[in-house]
Amino acid sequence: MASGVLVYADHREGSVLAGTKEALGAARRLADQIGGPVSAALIGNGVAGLAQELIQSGADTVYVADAPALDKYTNATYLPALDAIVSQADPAVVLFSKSLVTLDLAPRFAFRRGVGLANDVIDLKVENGQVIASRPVYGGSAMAEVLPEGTPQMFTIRGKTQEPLTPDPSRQGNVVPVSVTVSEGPVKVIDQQKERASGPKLQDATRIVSGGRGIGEAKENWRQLEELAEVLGGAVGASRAAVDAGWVPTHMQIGLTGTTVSPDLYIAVAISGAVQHMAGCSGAKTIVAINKDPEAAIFKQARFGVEGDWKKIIPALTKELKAMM
Amino acid sequence: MNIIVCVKQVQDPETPASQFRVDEAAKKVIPPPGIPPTVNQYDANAIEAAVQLKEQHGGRITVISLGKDTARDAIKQALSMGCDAGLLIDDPAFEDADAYQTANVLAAAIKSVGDYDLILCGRQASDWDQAQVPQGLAELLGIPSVTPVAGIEVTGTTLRVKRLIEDGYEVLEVPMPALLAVSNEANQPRYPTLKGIMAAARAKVDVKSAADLGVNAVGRKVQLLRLYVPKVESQIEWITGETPEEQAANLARRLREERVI
Amino acid sequence: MPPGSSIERTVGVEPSCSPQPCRDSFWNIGDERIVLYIGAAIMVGLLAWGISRWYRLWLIGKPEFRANDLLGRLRQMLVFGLGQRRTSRDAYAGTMHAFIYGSFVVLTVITIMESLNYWGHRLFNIQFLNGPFYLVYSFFGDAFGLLLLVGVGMAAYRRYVMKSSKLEYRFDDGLTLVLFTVVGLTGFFVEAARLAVTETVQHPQWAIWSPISYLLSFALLSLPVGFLLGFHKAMWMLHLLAALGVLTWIGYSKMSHILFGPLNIFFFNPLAGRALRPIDDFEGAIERGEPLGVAKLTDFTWKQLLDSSACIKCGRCHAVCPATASGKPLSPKNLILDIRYHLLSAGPGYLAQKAAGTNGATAAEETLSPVAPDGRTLVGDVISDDVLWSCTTCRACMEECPMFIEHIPAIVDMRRNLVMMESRFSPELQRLFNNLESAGNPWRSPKAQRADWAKDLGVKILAEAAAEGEEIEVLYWVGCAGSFDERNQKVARSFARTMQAAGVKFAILGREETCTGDPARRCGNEYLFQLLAQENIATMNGYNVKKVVTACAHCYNTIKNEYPQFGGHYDVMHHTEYIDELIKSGRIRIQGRIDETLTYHDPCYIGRHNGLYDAPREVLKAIPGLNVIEMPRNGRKAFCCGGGGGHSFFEVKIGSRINHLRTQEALDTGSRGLAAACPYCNLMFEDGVKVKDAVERFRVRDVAELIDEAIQAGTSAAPAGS
Repeated sequence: MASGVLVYADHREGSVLAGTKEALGAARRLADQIGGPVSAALIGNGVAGLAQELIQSGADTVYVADAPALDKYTNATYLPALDAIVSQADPAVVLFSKSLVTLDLAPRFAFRRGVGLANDVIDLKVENGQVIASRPVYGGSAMAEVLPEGTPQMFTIRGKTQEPLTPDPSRQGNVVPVSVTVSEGPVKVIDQQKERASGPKLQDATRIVSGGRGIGEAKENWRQLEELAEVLGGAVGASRAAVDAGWVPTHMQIGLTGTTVSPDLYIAVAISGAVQHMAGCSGAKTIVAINKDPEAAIFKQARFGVEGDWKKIIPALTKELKAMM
Repeated sequence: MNIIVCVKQVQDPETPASQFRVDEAAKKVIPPPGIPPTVNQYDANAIEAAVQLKEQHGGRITVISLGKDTARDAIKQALSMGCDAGLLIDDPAFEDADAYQTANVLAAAIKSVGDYDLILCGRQASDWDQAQVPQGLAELLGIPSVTPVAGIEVTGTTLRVKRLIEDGYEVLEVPMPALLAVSNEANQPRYPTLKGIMAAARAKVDVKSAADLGVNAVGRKVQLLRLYVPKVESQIEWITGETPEEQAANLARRLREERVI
Repeated sequence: MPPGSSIERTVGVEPSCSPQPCRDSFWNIGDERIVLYIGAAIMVGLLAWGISRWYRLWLIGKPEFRANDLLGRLRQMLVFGLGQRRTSRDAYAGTMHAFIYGSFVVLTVITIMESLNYWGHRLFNIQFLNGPFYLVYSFFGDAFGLLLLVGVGMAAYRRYVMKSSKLEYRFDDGLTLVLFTVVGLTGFFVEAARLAVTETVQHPQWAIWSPISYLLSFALLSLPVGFLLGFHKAMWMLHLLAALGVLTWIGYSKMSHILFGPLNIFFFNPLAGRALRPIDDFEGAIERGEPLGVAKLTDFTWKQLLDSSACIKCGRCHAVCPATASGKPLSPKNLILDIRYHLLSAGPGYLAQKAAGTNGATAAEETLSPVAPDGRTLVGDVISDDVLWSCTTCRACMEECPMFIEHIPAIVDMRRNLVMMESRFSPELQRLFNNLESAGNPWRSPKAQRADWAKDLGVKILAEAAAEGEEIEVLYWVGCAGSFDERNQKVARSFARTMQAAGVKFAILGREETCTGDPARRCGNEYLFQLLAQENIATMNGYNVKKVVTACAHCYNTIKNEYPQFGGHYDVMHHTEYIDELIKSGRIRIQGRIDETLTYHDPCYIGRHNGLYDAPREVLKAIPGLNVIEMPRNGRKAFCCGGGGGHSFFEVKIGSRINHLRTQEALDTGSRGLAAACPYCNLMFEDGVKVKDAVERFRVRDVAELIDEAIQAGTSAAPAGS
């Protein structure tokens, strides 16, 4: 009989993603309630070395499908591998952490299995032995509690919503190689282009200065936000409005369809606080909103509000913090 | 090139929070009065991508939507932008369909339309944000799929697809037929020409029920237990000051006091 | 040197009518006259051909009825064409032009009189250029000859020394001046040579009536008479040819304005720009495959093509255009001239197509193709999209144009094609259209909240008033900005309070009001405009609305001038006009004071478009303590705030910002604030003042806010001057 929780181990360039460790934390807590082991599905080429890290983060068993054909992610090659692992592990629950890979992988896998999937959940609880998830809908205006049916139940967890376990180097676990015959799928990855900013990655930054439509097109305006971020040792983000306007590159977008962040400090500059944006930063511990419109929605979620013209306040704040830090 | 675009009509995502209401008993969102529903924004990107491909390579675009009678407007919008035919699946049994039901109905509808080279969807819908239907549909149809897509080129029977990754994008080669779920990075949906608007106004949209498509009872895979508006309690502290400089200084001081910095 | 008999004359030729002074027509000219007759015939032929060429080119345009109100048209032609009322506004250019224009007319008349005199003498033995009349005639000839040269000199000075940036610098512009100079100089030499041989010696008391030639003749006196006679003939010939050249030149250069200017003024539509031409049958046009708006020359009306040929390239529009001044690609002059040059290069091809067009489908395809016979597209190649989007429709160009060219309709017509046929415009504009479509306002604010600004003011909603059977005096059209924009909601509240203080029974439409459609229409989305307009007109007619007052200059213009096109006929007043009336009728009593010095900005859509310059100033004057000083550019010369023509909702990101330029002008007056009378002006100045870092020392307020403030100050019984 199916039992335990399996976590899909998402990795990039030889590292396990933070979200996967958060999912392992959540898996541990769920497994404590529904019983059964916590396992991880590790798929890729030359990734077996990551198994130990997964065990340290809470996995009891790591199923590894390691093959050259799995070098680059495509759903055509990863789906059979995952399918084989899930068949072997027979979990009651499968957890994915939300990423641009699992966005592609999880739904297709759920359909292949003919089970229900709840995407982008922020909270999980157990009732009558079944897992129920909360997920924001309508851009965060409403919250839905949902129960995916079938076995296993599947969930994709929004980043920064679950606590990872403290890594424990002494933890022991099994590594189970799973042999899958994977031929090269119909889809081929032929190129990869990075548009990376300097400074810390947005999702890793503990302090973020973020600009919206009110910043405008001028490069020097964005430069002001960068200067503040530099003083704070943080990164610069943007709302979708600013990205859509073409003022800043896509990877800076914070929001429901951009990056989800949960820094210690989030300074929202000239951002109105549309629900789509707040979905990406509501995990921030302290939100500071600077906006000339005191009615702006951002102030409802902010811890500190400054009503005024950012063009004056930001340079002054940069100067002030430079002196302080 | 035969393209099928799946679109969904959604509540205007810019509906202000003050106008947003939920009927908790019925577990439904109450449509805000005076704010008309719109085409899901990512679906508009999918429509635009389809029309651009048609402009480059010729072909025919069929738009399919599962929804209430008002979703006819969403189809007309697609027609006005340059799509050729519309099919509305209006069936009270699927009014609150989950992703599994929706994908099954759409798959049946697509089979009823006939041959296709490419299916385009928006990467997700701004109401329920499930981001499942496109991938599920591809799985049901047994064709390759990619999401989220930021660019499409066609060379012969192969697609060259730009797929977003966390810090950039990768380029994939995908054989047709295939399904691509389009993201907003792909394009800027056009404003229809008047010719398009007029043609769409006259165009007839086929309406079918799920039964017409041979879809009988398809159950939900995800149960909705509860729907509510989360309470956000504002705990804001306003930073005041005579001048912007003073405001900045006060803000810095409070952040320090709260050990944020 | 005084005239004297010390110089010996070998030949003295007495005029035929001596001893009376008289004109000896064709003196010293014999068979050479044949050159005049043949030359004149050639000139008439060439001129006729030149004009007919233009005429045929105009006819490639679409028909448009412009023959209504013939008397009014005649009047505007006489006043502004022949009467030069507009041309004279510019002191230097006006004077220069008056000299050339005046002398051209007088010298032409003088030449014709000379001819008549000659033929009268020859055929009927009647000469009228006799005695004192002849002497005065001579004087006129000389005086206007001088004026011509002074005028041409002024033109040359402006062109080659001042190098005015308004002007075009093409070869033919210089040639025009050369021709006139030759006509003027040879005229004097002909007369001087004649005088030197005749009157200067024998009848100096006659010769003195040609003062310039008389003086010039002394320089010639020492020359042998035989040479002088030859010199005279040569000069006469040159004069003749140059004069015929000038007349011929009319058919082939900017001098055509002599004919096309008055013609263009005659056909000018006084509503042009403020009431844009409606498209009547969208569906039919689409079905017939006809383009909407203008994509190519043949989509213009004949009048618009006439516009392009009437331009004299004076550059007055160029000098006042806010787009030009802010470094945007639009110059109204270049726009019109680009159309002209395109008409000259591609027009003949269109004519040839038209001639061959009766046979076959290819002709129909050709009429659809936006590519002109010269291989270029009007919009795109000849006129770039950015040029068209740069226009704020402020009407400064049309207000200045001495030829009454209609720039705004031409620009909007080309925008119409870009929007409705090509769907080629900025995403910001798309957002505007989408918002107007789905929410009826530019910001997508919920319709249900349209009356929220008035919640605590006790303002009646018209539907409620109607249900209660309550009569209202006036409908207050709030407009989208007054309804939803935070800054302009304050203006709406002030104006409502002012009307309440005056005891005016008014109501608003509330959620039944939608955007008038002005931004959609100015941005070329005529279809969307008509949808919005029809909705509003149906609403207002449903309530039998008679009188409308609005604080929005754009709503004012559209409801007043454009809604009649769709059956909406109302007595429309701008709020400044209405407040002025309330003050003058004693319904508003201002007891408070505002001790400040302000400057007033004329919104384009009440000022230039509708001639409302005085009412706002009267209102401000009625506030005790308020001192209004003018900006250098005020009244009809007021510089746009930058917010019209849809520019409050999209930006042409080239050059500087128009509102920053105008804000600087306001700040430079040294006043402490600005009074405006339009929501977009309010927003544009608010932004400008912030950018100029002048928020603390310079306040932007609407006229309604100032009046409200003064009334409130009075009721709170504050001591005067506190």
